[in-house]
Amino acid sequence: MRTALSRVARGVGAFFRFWYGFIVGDDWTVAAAVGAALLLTAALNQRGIVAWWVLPLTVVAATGASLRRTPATRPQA
Amino acid sequence: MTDSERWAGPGVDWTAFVLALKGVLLEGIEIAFIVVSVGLAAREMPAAILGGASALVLTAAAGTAFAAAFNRIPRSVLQLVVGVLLTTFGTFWSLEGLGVEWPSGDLSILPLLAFYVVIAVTYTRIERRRVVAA
Repeated sequence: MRTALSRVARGVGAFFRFWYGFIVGDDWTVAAAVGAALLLTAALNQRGIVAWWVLPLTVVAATGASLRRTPATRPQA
Repeated sequence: MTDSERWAGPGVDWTAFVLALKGVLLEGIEIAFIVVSVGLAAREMPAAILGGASALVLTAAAGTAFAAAFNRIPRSVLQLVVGVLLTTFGTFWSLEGLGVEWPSGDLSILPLLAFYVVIAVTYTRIERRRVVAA
């Protein structure tokens, strides 16, 4: 019974870890920045302000900040 | 793919099998959604199915024909290329979904792609310098 329960718990954990990795990824701050940029874009667009530039600039800034925080390592070949 | 990444154990590499299955299943469902939604919106389901099936055959043929060449592409390069493409399409379609108008309509996807390529190359150079300095 306990083995079956722990197997179910591991399966549920793996399910949520997969979706977290799929949607959020390695750095939650990048996902949060993109979410905030989408909200800002929608708000500006509703007021008739040209806002297509918000998301690309946010992606660049958030990725750059994330890379700066990450220790430099050699990529896998 | 380097030698260290090649499966050297007995039988099938089940981790690689599950990862490939997940990837193909996910993308396959995505393609099915695109074909059905585009076909229904245009009321041209036969043309949409024909287009989807042709793309499937062409992709499988290209994958088979160039398998050896694709195997020589470093994994990090593949990740970078796919990442840049997904970021470009993701940016474009998420803003389209919000009703935002792009300066050049659908053609804006090309300068957007060029922009992300330049940024990716710049960040890659910066990271290389950091690795050398570390």
